Amino acid sequence: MSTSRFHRLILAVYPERFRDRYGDELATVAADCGGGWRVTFDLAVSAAKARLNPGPITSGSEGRRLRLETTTSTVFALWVWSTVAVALFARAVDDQPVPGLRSWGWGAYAVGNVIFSLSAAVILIVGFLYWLRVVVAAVRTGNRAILIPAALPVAVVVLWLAGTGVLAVATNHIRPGNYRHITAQGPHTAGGWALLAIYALFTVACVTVCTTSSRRALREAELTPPMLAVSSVVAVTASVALAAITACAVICVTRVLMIGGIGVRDEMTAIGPVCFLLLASAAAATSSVRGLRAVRTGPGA
Amino acid sequence: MPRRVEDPNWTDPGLLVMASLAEGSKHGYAIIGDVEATTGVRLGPGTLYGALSRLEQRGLIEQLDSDDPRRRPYRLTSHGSAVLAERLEHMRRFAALGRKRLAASPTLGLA
Repeated sequence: MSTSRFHRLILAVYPERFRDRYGDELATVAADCGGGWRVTFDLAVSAAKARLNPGPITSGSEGRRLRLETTTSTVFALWVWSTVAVALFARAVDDQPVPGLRSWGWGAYAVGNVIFSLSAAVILIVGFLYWLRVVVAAVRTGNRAILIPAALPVAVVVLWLAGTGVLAVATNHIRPGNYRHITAQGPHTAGGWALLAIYALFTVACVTVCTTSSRRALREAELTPPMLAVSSVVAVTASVALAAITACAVICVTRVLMIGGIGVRDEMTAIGPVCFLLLASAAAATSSVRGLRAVRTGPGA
Repeated sequence: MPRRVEDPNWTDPGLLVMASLAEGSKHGYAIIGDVEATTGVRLGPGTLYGALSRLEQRGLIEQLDSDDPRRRPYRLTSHGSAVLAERLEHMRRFAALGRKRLAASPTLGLA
């Protein structure tokens, strides 16, 4: 892949409004700079910053709206991806009970599960109410620009559940005692690994489509400022829950590593998600603080 | 804690861009070249446009019309000029204070 094409891919990560405003110029200047890893790294870091802190040429109420939309959608996306990380983490430390974990390590794990469940309930309920508000208004007005991205996540979730069912059938998990490809200890044949890889890619694609289309629906729906403010407060709640879950996971994985006995592969399966959770928590906290500032004083604070 | 506008952050990309535009309107690549030539700091394109978007959002610079949408020039607004002057004055006072203290130091005194 040529450098300019690679830069185009990174440019696609920038927020749409930023691309509309600066995309052509930025691509031209990146090409003028001659490419190279420093330019690539600079573009990637700046894209992440632009995502977390949308700035392009907005002020006043429009800037505040953009800030709140970004906080809500960013924290929501991070939270959805974190659920995948939490599931992977749980798979590593729970499916094969760690000998001796029945102490503070297990306590942290249990507390993390409770926090995660409670935050999931709040986010799902509030998310569903907002979804209803957006979809009902879109159906009434026949606004396909909102309806399609709002309805797409539902179709994707149904598709994902169907795919999960197909995987269960394919691996004979519905017939205990006849695990041909994937056992409780994981894949043990090439076919099992291939199935798992396909399923992982499928899950990543589903989560990506869900988060991006939700973001688009949120932007198109143009929620009222009070609704956006409420969603930002929920985003703060989700960020706090994410930070608490991360702390519990760090305590738990520390205990697991001290005890040992789950094998290198499961240790890696546990450490990877914890690293992701640390990054996601930091990003969610940053975005939430900026959202709260916008609620209180406007985007320029 | 949010950074105060008068904080002497010498390598702030926004300050470097504003100082470059104080000379006259420039497009993105010209700003990079000017900043590198005058300060030795090589701004990356992502850093530059992040700074341009923030400055534009705060009304400190504005985009000018251009036939080539890939090379649109920017210039300081009057508000941007006032803010830049205030920051440079603050930095001048800070530098003067540092020089005065160095001169008064018996071991590090300036010749």
